[in-house]
Amino acid sequence: MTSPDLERIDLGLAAVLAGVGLLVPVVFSGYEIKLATTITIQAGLAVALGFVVGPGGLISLGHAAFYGVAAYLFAMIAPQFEPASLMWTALVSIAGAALFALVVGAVSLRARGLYFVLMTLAFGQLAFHLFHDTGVGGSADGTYINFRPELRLPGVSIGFEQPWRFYLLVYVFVASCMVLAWWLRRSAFGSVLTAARDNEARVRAFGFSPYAVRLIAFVISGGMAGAMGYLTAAQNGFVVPEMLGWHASAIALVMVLIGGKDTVSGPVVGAVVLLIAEEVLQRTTEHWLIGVGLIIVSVVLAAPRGVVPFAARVAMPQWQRWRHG
Amino acid sequence: MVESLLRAQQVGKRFGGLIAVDSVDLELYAGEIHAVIGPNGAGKSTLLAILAGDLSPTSGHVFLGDVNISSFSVEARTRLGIGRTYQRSAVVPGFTALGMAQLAASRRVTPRWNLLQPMHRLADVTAGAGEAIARVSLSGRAAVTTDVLSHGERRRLEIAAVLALKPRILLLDEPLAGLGPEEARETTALITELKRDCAVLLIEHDIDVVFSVADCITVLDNGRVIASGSPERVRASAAVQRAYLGHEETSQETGQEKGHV
Repeated sequence: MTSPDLERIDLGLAAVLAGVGLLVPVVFSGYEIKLATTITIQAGLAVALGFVVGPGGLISLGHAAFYGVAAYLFAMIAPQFEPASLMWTALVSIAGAALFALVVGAVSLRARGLYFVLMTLAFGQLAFHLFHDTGVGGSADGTYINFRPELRLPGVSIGFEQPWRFYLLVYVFVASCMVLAWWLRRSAFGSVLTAARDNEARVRAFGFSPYAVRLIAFVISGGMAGAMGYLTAAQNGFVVPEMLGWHASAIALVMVLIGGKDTVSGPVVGAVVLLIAEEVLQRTTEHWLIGVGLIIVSVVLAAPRGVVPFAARVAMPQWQRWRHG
Repeated sequence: MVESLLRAQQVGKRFGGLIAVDSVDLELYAGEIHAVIGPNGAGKSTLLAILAGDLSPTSGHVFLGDVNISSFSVEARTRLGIGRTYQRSAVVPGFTALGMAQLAASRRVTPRWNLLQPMHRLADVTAGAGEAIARVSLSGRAAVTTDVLSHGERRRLEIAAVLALKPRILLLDEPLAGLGPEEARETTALITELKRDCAVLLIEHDIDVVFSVADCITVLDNGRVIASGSPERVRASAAVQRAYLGHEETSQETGQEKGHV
């Protein structure tokens, strides 16, 4: 449970981010929209991961696997010569990712702490090597997807080839994930999940199985990560094994920790900060990775609980003073 | 003959060479307070942990009615109606007093997907939790986070939380430890009241309280039952006089461990 102040700031910030997100297709065009789309998808992945890292207290280094499995599923079921149906392919991809998360979670959640991290890492690498080395899904080269999916409604079908349309599709997906994460965090289920993180024995004595509660959270999170993998596959038009690697999981984890794991807007802020910094630094220096590393170190030192709680702590007294004159 | 609600049958627990609990038989009946007393290290808390499911016995069985629940998890036993408090208050950090009672009360929410609602929208949960908090006179502190509560308030919250579970069987591990005289009096009165709704197993160091509220007393020493029965019988038992009551002060002060190899 977070303090009511932080919760209010989190909600306010999420609303601001949603507003800013809606302006993107109005203000920008071309490359910027594509970049914004990528950032938004990664933000969605961070929100998914943040839900298990924050309230669940579960550090997963295997979330890229759920993300990647959904992407590959989409690549495999998408027809070669015509656009796929968004509804069906998204459903199958997300369900596939959630199912994989169920298997990974069911086994990994038997372990605790660092061993849990190791288990998720192992499953992630297992999935990576499955696609990288066995010939499934085109081996190391990956697979192409020729068309973006289209939304088929009775009498009309909406395509997403134009960047702004695809951006709006991504926006709806990610906003839905944020609403879902927000809702779950505030629900009784979220309370049980947090309590299991902070005092497991107590929660068991209250008749809840921490294992079951965590598994449900893990599967929901895996499904959300899958949705983001699906969108990435649709955006890029190809899938590669690197999507599943632990590196991708670690980056999502960095986003969560930079922004603040105890908030819903935190992971989004983390994704925006990290990816925009990357973009800017890449244009200025070839040693941009050093710059990114320095940013991460500075943020962690200055705001160990993340940017959003830090900003809340700094801004709240000012706001109170201003409000009460 | 009335059937017992909870029954320990020849229960034993060994930690390596130490026998903490040795072939203990114990029966708990509805509507009674059954106290377990004994010097420090006698095995009382270990016995309670075995009944609650925190520890599995190395020998013997635990029965709930006719069902052998020896291998059941803590959460499964809670679902079957066994509630327990901890000797050291195990509050959940960050939760308010009411929030913790709600957590307990939300156990009984059906259908389960109603848990997707926020706690405050679950009317039964809020009512049940509020009632439990009121029973331990904590209503005025309901919105206070557990980290801020005093020791005595945490002890009472501990009881409120378990009451919110609406158990049939209540296992209380030293509920009076560290309470002020007034709080202790109130809590004792509450425990006496509770036996109307459930069977109470009470572990308590305050002998005066035990002899005034218990319907049945089991005395443990070195993990073994040395006497069991009505307060009068136990008080008269020579073994109890020898092992415990006679030099109660000494054994409590030195806190000696009496495990044997």
